Order: sequence, then structure tokens, then C-alpha cells
Amino acid sequence: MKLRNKFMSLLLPAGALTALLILFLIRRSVHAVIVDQLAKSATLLAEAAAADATPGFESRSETLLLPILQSIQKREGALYAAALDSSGRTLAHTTITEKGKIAEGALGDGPAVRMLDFRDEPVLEVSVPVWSLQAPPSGAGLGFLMSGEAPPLSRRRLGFLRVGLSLQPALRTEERILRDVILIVGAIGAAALLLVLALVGGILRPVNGLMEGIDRIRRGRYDVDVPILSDDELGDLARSFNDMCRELVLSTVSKEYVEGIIENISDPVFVAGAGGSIETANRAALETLGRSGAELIGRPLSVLFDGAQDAVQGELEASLAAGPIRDRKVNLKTKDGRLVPAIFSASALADLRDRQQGCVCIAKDITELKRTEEELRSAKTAAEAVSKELEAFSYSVSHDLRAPLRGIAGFSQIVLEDAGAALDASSREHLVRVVDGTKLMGRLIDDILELSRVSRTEMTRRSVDLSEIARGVAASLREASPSRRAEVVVADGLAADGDPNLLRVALVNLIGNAWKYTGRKTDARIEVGSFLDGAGARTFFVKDNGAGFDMAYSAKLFGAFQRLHAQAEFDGTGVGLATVQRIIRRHGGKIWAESSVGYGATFYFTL
Amino acid sequence: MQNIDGLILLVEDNKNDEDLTVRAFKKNNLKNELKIARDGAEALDFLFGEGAYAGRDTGVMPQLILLDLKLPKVDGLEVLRRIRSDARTKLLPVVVLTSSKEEQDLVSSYSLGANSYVRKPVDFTEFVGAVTQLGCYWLVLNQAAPKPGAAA
Repeated sequence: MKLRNKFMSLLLPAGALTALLILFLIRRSVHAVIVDQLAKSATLLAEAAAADATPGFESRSETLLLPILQSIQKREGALYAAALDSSGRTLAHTTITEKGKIAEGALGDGPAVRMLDFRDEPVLEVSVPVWSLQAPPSGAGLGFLMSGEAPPLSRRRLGFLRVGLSLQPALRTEERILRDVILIVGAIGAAALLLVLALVGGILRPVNGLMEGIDRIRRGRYDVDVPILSDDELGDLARSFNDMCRELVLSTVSKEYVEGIIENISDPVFVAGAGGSIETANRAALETLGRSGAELIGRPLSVLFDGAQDAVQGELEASLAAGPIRDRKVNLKTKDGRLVPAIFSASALADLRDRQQGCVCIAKDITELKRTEEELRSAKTAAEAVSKELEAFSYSVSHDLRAPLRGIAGFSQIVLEDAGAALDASSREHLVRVVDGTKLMGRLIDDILELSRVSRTEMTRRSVDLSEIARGVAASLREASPSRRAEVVVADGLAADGDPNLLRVALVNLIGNAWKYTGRKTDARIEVGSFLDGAGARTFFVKDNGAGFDMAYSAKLFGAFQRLHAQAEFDGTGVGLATVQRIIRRHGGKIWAESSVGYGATFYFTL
Repeated sequence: MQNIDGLILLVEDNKNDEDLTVRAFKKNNLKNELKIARDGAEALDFLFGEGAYAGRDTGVMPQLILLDLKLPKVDGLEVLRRIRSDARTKLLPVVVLTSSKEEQDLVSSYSLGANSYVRKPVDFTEFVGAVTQLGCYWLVLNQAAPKPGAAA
């Protein structure tokens, strides 16, 4: 029930009852006062007339009594006046028909007052005893009348004088007074009611504001600002309420917001309730499973998976009890029975008191990933097969190609040895060329194998002292051609991070090249060192003052079988720098060269 | 390099290489009897007196085995494994003489107990040099293990 109605239902009956009670009490008092006044004036009137009437009573003469009675009636506007003897018989009466009747009502020594109806008119009747002439003075008479004491025994009661006054005027006065009282009470009541209503309204207005605010919050909108209408406790309440709403906005996200996030996550998301049945499935979930929301909501989580439902559900619950499920590979079952490979994760949801509230699960569809994986695997298998083939090829090259070459070289040599004398000079020269050709081809085969090996061998990086390797390379070069005069300067502490075997091959080629192309210099000088480039990266270099090359052909420098010098000038296979470049690239580095013909060449590389 | 009468077993399928090796031996005056086996199976039959060599006196074992790796039927590494796992032959010096310088072949050969690994040079002069050094070392300089029978 509304507070206003509650007030009214209590206030109105109480007010009405109070008003009635007030009216009743006032009416009684007014009535009593009026009747009392009337009785008093009637008693005085009767007593005043009693003295004059004494002779009439003594003689019991109607003739004497009637004029007195009539004068009382006339003068005082009494309805009637009567004289009764001691025994109550009517001696005289202004209304003649009453004469001779025995009066009703007790007749005592004092004045008596009673109410009656006379000829359908309410009447107040006063009866006053009349005494013999030895009556006490009128002051004393008034005294006993007032006190109600018994008169002195010496007197003799002659009878009673009775006066009937109409109550009609008195009642009219009473009515008038009552009417006024009703008006006053009504006015007071109405004023009180208005006052109460205003008061209730003053309380209800802020309360209604609060109610509207609470309603907004219930609908999930926390941006509530209730007007502060007063500076009292209700105002404080509204202020606190607004503060609470601000806190809520800061500390809480709305349900809509959270639902929006879940719905729009691009992977399937499921939320299960405490009983393990699905409560929420987002759009991605429905699309992946090809099911509608109605087909999933309320069903157990196990319906998502392939396998015996009870076992799956039991396993899920057991796993979740032990902790979150992370990245488990599962198969989701679609509506049409298709299996979708997925990575499944789930964690239990608990409320603030740590009670189990169900779980939230995410299942990432990895169909694409699987396919890519499969493609990668087959590509890897293919690559491995190629690699195996390449290895077999390398093996054949190293073994099978060399064998016939050895035959050609060997038997040419044997012919030269056994029948050289019988041959002419040019035939001998041709056979020597055959032998030289086989030697070069043997080196080519070895270089190609090396080139393929630097690509194939497994690389292990560790810190390498390039200075030490470079010095070793220089030493073996000197040993191979002790007659060469060449200065080889290797800087100390050339530290690098790389594969020691591969880096050795690179330096063998680079320093070997420098050695070869400075072969015609009398003041040959080879320098191996390093510097920091602008970006702070270590750059190594191998510098010589040899034949150099034309920078116009620098693009060809690192290509396999590419040569910038004639075989007659400097022998070589054209594979060495290709091998070096492959090694540097495997280290993630760069190699380049600077040169000018006749002034030497410098090869730079980073690792 | 004279008066060497120990038997040399050359396991070689390539006729060219066989002839070149024989010539190289001759050139160095190595008079040792040279037994040629043209594939791995023949080499094993010879060593253990089986197949075509059934009844051979297996008490006579080669003083040196020159073994190619790439062989028909049974390859060189398998031959080496069998030699090393038989009490009669496990102490015989085996020199791998091959064209391959693949790391993997080197590692496998030494793992299986090869005494030496020599790569055949393409150049005949170098080849003769290599064979000369081999002969000198294994047939003259090296002291072979006593025969299993004699030791017992």
C-alpha cells in the first residue's frame, strides 16, 4: 500500500472519531449548562412568586392562585404554571384541563427539576415547595435551595408551585452553538489533513526520486543522479545514494557490456552453470557447431564433444575440480556429426564466497592450423626427401665422378710414362693438358661438394676467435708455398659469434684468394681486421694489395662458377666466394667487396 | 721394400682403380701377392673360406686389407663390421681407400674400427705417392698383431 494511502487510512478514521468525540462532549456540556441555567432561572421565578401565592395556598383557592400563575406564565414566557397541594393534587393550572390531576414526580422539601413532554413539546419543569407565612427570609430560602438542606422544622409546607418552561429556545441555542463548533472542528480537521498531506508529500518526493534511481540500477544503468531536494536526513540519503552510484560506475561493468564482449569474441565461448549445463554460447560457438542457441542452452557441456556423454561429462568435472583446463586438444561435434579439431580451455567460476558457480570455456577452432600443420609436415617430408636425395647425389659426385676422372688422369699419365718417348711433342703436350684438365675437374668437384656442405651441415653458434683461425690459415698457405714473400697482418682479438668450422672455410677462401691474387706482387700485403660501423655493428675485413678487380663486375663476384680472371692468369673454380657468401648468409650477415684493378681488393663481412 | 711376401687383399670394384693400384704397387717394387675381390661378398667369402672360396686355408690371412667403401652386393662399411666382429679377422689392419671424403663416411669407418682412411687422389702421381706411403707403413714399418692361432 502506498505510503500516502496508508497515512489516509489511518488518519481519516482517527480524525473523524476525534471530531465526533469532541462534538459529543461539547454538546453534552452545552446542554448541561443551558438546562442548568434554565432550571436556575425557573427556580428563582417560582420562589419569587411563592411568597405572593401563600394566601392562595392557605385557602386552597383557585381564584387567588390562578392570576398569580397566569402572571408568571405571561411575564416569563412559561409554557405553563401550576399550584399543587402537599399531596400533589393540582390546585390551579394555567392550562385548565390539567386542574384536579395528581401531579407526577417526587415531591420533596427542596426544589425539583425534571424534563418532560408537554403537548409534544420538550419542557423543563421546576417544582418549588411553598411554605406557611413563617417562612424564613428570602436570602435563607435561596441558601437552602442552593445547598439542598432541609428547611427548619417549625415551618409548614403548604404545597408546590410548578413552572414549565419550553426547552425549544434553549435547544435552538444549543443547535446554533453546535453548528459553530462543527464548523470550527471541521476547519481544524481540514487544516490538519492538509498539513499532514504536505508533510507526507515532502517526504515522498525524495523517496520517489530514490525509487526511480534504484529502478534504473536494476535495469543495469548506473549513471544515476538523484536530485537533492532538502538538507535533512533525506537529502543526506540522496547524496549517499549518488555517491554509491558513482562508485558502482567506477567499480562495475554492466551486464550488457560483458555480454557484448562474450558474444563478439571470435572464438567459441561457452558458460555453464553450477549444474554443468550450458547457460551461454556466443555467436562463434553457434556458427562453429552449426546449432541454434535453443539446441545448446540447458544441455550438458559434454554435448559439445565427441564420445560417451557421461564419461566426457565426468572427466570434465574431475579435470575442473583439479584446476583450470588449459589448451587441451579436443574434437568438437557439430550438429551434422562433423568433428572440428579445437584447443579447449576451461576454468571454474566461483562467487565471492568461493562457491562453485559453473565454468567458462573457450574452444579455438584449429581446423586451419591443422591443415597448415599438415601442409608443413608434408613440405618438411618433401624437403627431407630432397635433402636425402641431395646427400645421395653429393656422395655420388664425390665418389662416382672422381673414379672415371682418376682413370683418365692415371692412364694418360701411364701412356706418358710408358710411351712418351714414342710420341711427338705436341701429342705429349695434349696428354699433359688432359692430365691438367682432370686435376681442375677434381678440384671443381671438391669445391662444389664444399659449397653444398656449407649449406647442409648443421650450424652451431659459439664464440670464435677469428684471429687465431686467420693466423692458422696464413701459416698453412706459407707452408704450401715457402718461396712466397708476403706480409700477413692479423689484428688481435677478432671475436665473433658463429660456427667455427664454417667460419674457417670462409677465411680459408678469403685469405686464400688474397694470397692467390697477390702472387705477382713483390711487396704482397694481406690484412685481416675489423671495425665498428656507424650503427655500432662489428664489420670484419680481409684486405690485399693484389690484382684487384673491376667494380663493374662486382655483381658477378659471389655467383657460383663466376670468374673475373682468366684461368691462365689466376687458376680457380669460381666457387670459393659463392661458398663464403653462403656461410655469411647462414650466419645472418652480409658480405661485399671494394676494389680497383691493380690496387688490391677488400672483402667486408658482418656476422 | 723387398722380400715382403705377406698377402694384400684389395677390395675394389673399379677395374681402372684396380689397375692403377696394381701399377702403383709394381712401381714401388712391392712384391706382395695381391688378392683382388670385386665386391664385398667376395671379400667376405675369401676371408672366411666360404662360397667360391670354400676349402681355402683360412689360416692364411692377408697382411693388409685395402677396402673401398662403395661396393656392389655388400658395401665396404658392412665388410668392415663383419671383419671386426669375427675373432679370425678382427685384428687385421684395414685401410679404407676410397674416393669419398664425406664426413659421415670418415666417422663411420673409424667407428667401425678402420685403422686408416685414405682418399684416392685424382692425380696419378699423387695416387702412386699415397700407395707408396701406405705400403711402406703397413707392410714394412707397422708391426702386425700376432695371428690368433699362434697366440693360443
